[in-house]
Amino acid sequence: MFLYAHIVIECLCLIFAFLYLRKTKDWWVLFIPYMICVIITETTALYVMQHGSPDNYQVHNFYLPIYFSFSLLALYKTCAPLFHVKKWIGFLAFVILVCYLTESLQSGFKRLSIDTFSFANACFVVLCCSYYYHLLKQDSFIEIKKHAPFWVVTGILFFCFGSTVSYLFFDTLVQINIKYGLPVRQVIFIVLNFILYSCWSYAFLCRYRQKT
Amino acid sequence: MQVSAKNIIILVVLITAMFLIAAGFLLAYVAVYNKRKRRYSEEKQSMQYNFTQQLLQSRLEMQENTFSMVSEEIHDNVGQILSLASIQLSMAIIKNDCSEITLKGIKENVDNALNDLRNIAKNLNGNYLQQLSLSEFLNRAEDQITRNGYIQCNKTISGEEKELSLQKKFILFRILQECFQNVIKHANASSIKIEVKYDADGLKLIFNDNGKGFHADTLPPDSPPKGLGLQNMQSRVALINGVIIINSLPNQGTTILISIPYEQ
Repeated sequence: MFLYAHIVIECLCLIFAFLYLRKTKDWWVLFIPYMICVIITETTALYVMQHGSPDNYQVHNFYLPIYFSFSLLALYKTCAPLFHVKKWIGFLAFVILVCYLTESLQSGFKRLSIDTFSFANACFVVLCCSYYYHLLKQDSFIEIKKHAPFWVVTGILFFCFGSTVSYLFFDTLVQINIKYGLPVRQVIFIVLNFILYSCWSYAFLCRYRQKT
Repeated sequence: MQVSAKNIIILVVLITAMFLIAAGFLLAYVAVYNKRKRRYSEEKQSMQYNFTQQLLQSRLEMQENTFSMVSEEIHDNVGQILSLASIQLSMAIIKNDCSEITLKGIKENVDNALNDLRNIAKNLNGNYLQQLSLSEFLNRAEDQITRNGYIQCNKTISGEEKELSLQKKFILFRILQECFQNVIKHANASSIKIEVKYDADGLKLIFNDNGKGFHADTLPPDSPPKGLGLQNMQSRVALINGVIIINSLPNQGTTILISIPYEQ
């Protein structure tokens, strides 16, 4: 039953996004379709798993390009006011796409593109750290508690940084889950999702307060 | 295998927790640094505000000082000369004396009064003060202080004169006015020595009088309000990144050393 926790957390985040961002006319409004995509993916993956299929990697594999694209877009939009990041984002998008296609074609889209995922997460962590660095480097200070982009980046940092080990031990954790029925990876991801979507929900609230 | 699986689970959970804690530390560092930056920015703003206030205060005090001086000048000098000219004219009318000597005497007095009025008008002009150099300011102050003949003033200027910024100039002039006022009001001095040095790194000014002096640490109780003038001098010099040292002992006069850098 705890697998539903993902969907509950994501639904709550979608509600926050809908409540606070539906009237926004800039890129922030894209959080709503993205969260819908996330929920559809999670629900489909859960459905596939509960109806006989041994794994749901294919579902997640098709979701990965959306995840990469949206994360890159969010990081670009939050980092761009602080430093020149356009070229880096473009370069990363290209490299991630090449890695994803190579890895997916090799496995025939049947296996989760773990290496691409790990590589992309590492790049996102570097981008988040660059964001913090440039945020501190600038002369003016920001009100962190009320700064929406800061919380978007913070959510991404926690999620990407926290998931690194789980992806390094991905195969082992899958084996442990199959053999001993210990869903360690899923539990870790519930925690990470909770942190990510809490930060994002708070960011939506900050954005809403900033606008009104 | 069971032990191994347990170990792996512990390892994964521990490292993940460590990573999350590390991210938390990073977040805390950003928050603390940002808070410091905010405090620094607020302090900077407060200092800027303080500086502006002090500058305004200096200008107002200088204006007040000028008005007071102008009032004294009109009463003691121009007024007296014009009164004399008026009396001379009255005498000439009564005696029906239109001789060249009488008229020249009246004209001389009226010319003197006019010259004095021109000088007063210059003092009242704010732009004139802005254009005034330190040496010109000291010359004017010297003229005023030595007019009665009670106080002698010697000044030496060495080095190539460098222009100070307007703010620094205003504050320095105000400090010097305070020095002169202290000599007149409290020091009971008969001689003032002013030494100005335009060094490579900044302006050095030594203001020395042979007055009754005071304990620099414990100011005399009759100095109204207690040491405020000297405190103001110190805070104003600090505002323009300068240094002021006040050396004084009873019956040994007072020496004030002021050092002001040229750059902002």
